[in-house]
Amino acid sequence: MPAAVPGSARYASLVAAAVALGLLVAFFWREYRREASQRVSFVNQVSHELRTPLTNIRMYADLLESDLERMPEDESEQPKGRLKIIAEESQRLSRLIGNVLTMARQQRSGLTLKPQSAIVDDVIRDVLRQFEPALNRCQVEASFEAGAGESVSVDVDVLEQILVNLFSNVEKYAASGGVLNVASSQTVESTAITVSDSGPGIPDRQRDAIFRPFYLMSDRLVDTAGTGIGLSIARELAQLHGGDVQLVDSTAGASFEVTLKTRNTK
Amino acid sequence: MRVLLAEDDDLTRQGLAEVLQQEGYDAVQAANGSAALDCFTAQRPDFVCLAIMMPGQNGYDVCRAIRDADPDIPIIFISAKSEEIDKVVGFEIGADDFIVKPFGVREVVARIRAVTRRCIVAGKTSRQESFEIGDLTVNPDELRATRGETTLELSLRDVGILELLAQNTGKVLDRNTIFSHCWGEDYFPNSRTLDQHISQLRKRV
Repeated sequence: MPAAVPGSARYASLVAAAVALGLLVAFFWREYRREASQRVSFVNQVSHELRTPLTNIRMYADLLESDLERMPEDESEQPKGRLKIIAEESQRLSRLIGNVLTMARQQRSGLTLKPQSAIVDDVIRDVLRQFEPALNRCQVEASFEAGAGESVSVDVDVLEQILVNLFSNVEKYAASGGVLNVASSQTVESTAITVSDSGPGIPDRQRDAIFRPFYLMSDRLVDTAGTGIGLSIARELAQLHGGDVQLVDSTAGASFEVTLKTRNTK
Repeated sequence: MRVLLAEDDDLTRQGLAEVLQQEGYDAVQAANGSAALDCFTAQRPDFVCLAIMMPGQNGYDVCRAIRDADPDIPIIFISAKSEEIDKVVGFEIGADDFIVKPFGVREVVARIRAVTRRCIVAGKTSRQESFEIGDLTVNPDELRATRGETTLELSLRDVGILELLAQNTGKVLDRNTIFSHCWGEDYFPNSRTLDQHISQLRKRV
């Protein structure tokens, strides 16, 4: 039997080491993926579990509201006001769960668009209507300059989530300005929506950071709480739609411009 | 019109049953998949509202079994599962609509009325001629009434009350007559229920 050639032995041990390293990397990668997937799955599961009690809160608040409709107005005024707060807060919780689920979905398998034919201005009006009670309570006056009335191909859920996150920020952080101005415009290939307020604005040094996930402008507990995921999700969704969300220059407060690639469908 | 409501969460099921009853439906309740199938066989509902995640047989299994027995019956899924794939599976096995939790009562009512209209158009329940009451034209098949250019959305129960009143123009109807015609003989609402419903209907029309 011929003796092993030293070169071949070195080659064999190199291959063995490479295989062992490969197996090790594969093992750790699998473990990492399994843990990540368990984490996302846990978040997903918890978010879904929250939906049923939230449904019950909303449904029974609605039922109570219809009971109150039948009572004399002077007796029902105060309970109606309190019910409105329950309804608004449960909607806020719904939005939060929506954001968490979007993030979990993005981490798990990436997000996909589901475009349909819709009129962007109608979607904006719908979302503004949802926010009307909350904005009234915060004494924020909303105005809308409509300029995107063409029927276009757009993912309505994505657009709604972007708008909800931007309007929520005005409600949470810029209510002191008392103003929410929304304006839309359109070309044959894209739609732009500007959401402006007259609140405290965003300091220059934080202009980029606010789009990072979980970034909060203030860590102080006394300041309005938030999760810090709204703007990052809004930007992620807009980019998925071929556009972006950017903080643009404004004379007062903060002004965000949403751009989306939208194709005319008529 | 009879609706089978299968949902394992007691509060959600009872709340939805109340919404359906207010709208004028006879809601048959089931708390799990096999109870839902038993109710379906015994009660022959006009349409079905089905949760997905139920103990025992899940909503998908129940939907398949119901579809095998009746390919035309409308089925609405009501679920906390909101992924695209959940909806795709639901529609592929024959759901007609998919309501995602958390929902508001108005959304559920609007979707249930839409399914009811489709049931009527598809001939699942008998069609009715439109009729007039005062300056209001009521179209029972569409669950709508019109006055000039204005259209009003109605529930099944609203249509029943307006129909009874139109058939008895100029007559005084006692509570029992209205109850047995519009709520059914097995239902015993208190007089306040009727007063409140009439008062709300009056406000709307």
